[in-house]
Amino acid sequence: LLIYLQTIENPKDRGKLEQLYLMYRGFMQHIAIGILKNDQDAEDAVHEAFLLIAKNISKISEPESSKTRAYIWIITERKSLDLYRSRKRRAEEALTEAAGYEEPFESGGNGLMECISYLPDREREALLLKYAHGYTIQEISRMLGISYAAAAKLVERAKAKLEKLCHEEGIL
Amino acid sequence: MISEEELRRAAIEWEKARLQSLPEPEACGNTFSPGFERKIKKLIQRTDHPAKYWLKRSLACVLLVGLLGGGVLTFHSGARAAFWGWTIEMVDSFFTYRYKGPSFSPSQNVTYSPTWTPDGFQELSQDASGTGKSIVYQDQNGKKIIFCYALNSEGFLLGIGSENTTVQRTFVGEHSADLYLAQNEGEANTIVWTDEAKGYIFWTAGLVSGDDLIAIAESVQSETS
Repeated sequence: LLIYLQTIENPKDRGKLEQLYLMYRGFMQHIAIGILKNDQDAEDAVHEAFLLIAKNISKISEPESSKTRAYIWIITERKSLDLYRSRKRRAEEALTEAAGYEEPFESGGNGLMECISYLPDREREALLLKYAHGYTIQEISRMLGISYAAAAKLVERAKAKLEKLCHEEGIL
Repeated sequence: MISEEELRRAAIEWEKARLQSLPEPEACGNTFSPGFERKIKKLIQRTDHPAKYWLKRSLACVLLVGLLGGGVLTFHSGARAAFWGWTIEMVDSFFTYRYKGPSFSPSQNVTYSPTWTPDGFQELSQDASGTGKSIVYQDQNGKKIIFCYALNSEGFLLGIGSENTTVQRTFVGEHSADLYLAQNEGEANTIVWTDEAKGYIFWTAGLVSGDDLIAIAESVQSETS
């Protein structure tokens, strides 16, 4: 009940999930199909993503904004990759980070940006939520549906790996 | 060493470039199944209109049990106290109230409502059936308080989120009550109490202090129409 009441304390939150759904459902399906290559699995991933978005609805201030679009992309990608990996595990196949994600992406920016591209997706997502969106570790843990300790570890690991990559690339 | 500012700038730029590589949301069609659309519709109702959804669900449960029960049972109150009543258990991350015992029948034409709310709160809406009622109050800043009750009935569940919440045992008049105080600012406090004689569970929640919630609870009176 607390969770339900929290979401109605701000009248602006009313109708927000519906707005997000109407605005981003196709976008989310596109991302999920890109990873899972299967309509039914993509539906499952989008549903999981919506459940997480509903839990964090109060964190979304403007449905139609690049920040919201980025958050929705991160969550949908996360849920799709989680599903992809659980399916693969079931098939007892070896996993590698970002396996199955075949949408190539060149950041095209400076060396540091390129190094961000090389980070494992889970760590990169935490890094983006922390630095591009300015969320606290507590907020990131809720947004990704993980513990506080796991979220803190992801951000720390992302930073450490980024430092290492930058050294290897001669950026630092 | 990468500075926090460098990291921030790079993360923003990286994300911007990544989003540019994805299609615009308006350009994406969708082919979701009717089953998926139904699930999402339910989720939207639950999230965007939680009070209405919660009440509908709880009252529907009570009503269903009432119909299936096929009548009202009368028992010795001592036996009832010993074996029946409300239990609280943790289910996932919820303090869950569950009623064990005979279903009560609603008292004809009797409803309950608070006779006091904190300054500035006005009734915004109410929803009622024979087995329960909810009233939402709102102040000028849009802050809300919700008061609800439902008839004791097996199959009825009330869940209170336990995350970042402390629980205090208190009293509403002569009835023991549980006061759930949210630790995070901006999260609602809740009080839950039961009245075994009347056969109801009551709860009220809102962004007000625990003392205010107790005062609201103690002001609840019955009305006969």
